Amino acid sequence: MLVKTKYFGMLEVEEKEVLKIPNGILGFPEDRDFCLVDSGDETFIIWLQSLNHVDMVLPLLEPKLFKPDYTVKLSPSECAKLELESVHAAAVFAILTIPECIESMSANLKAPLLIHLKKRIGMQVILQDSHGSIEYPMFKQLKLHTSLGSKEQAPLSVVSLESLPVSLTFDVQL
Amino acid sequence: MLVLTRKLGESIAIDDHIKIVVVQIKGKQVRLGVQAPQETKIHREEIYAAIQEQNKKAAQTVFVPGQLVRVLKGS
Repeated sequence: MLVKTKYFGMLEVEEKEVLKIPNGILGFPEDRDFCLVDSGDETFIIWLQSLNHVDMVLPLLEPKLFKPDYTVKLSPSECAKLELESVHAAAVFAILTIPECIESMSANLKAPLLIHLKKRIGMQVILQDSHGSIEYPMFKQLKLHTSLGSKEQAPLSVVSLESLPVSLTFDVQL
Repeated sequence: MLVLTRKLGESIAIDDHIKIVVVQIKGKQVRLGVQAPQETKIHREEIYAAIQEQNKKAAQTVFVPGQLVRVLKGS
């Protein structure tokens, strides 16, 4: 299907590139279907574009890029909601807030977005035991990471969910 | 909404596995203890509102092509 995006023009999104978030993103109760867009720039930031409302788009980044010791513990009921049978089948992303002053950017480590890569289901989880901040400043760390090696420039594209990196930074709480 | 009156040290039971105890009463503050199975999610209600607000702030992020790279790679 052809999808209108907020920043990336019209994009062709295939069925298998649609990410369903059945419980929605807190604050956006009407948005359930999304796709991920790689702007093609040299950052590792990807964009969660709603297919329900063109104006709803959020920047995402893997937390390990700026906080290597970040871990996520899921409860059995969260695993069930995500239909997750193995911890090796999901990706973890932090939602970023990037204000006009980019140096003040922050990541929400308290409520990451988890994506079941094969089933293409996402869920924003509020972590119980984490002391992760919802507004974790990470510009300096990301800048350091970028200076060590950035992504190659690539064409603007819709991200295939199966190509996302499996996160090994989380665990099921037993 | 069901409203129950409890004294210090008393509790209420929800289902078979969840127990909420009044641990301390001090002025306008009440300390509650919650006993629940480990998979039960328990949060202060404000956390939901805070995350909603943060998500809305995140959605105000403006993408300007090339700008992020420039700032992240700049010295």
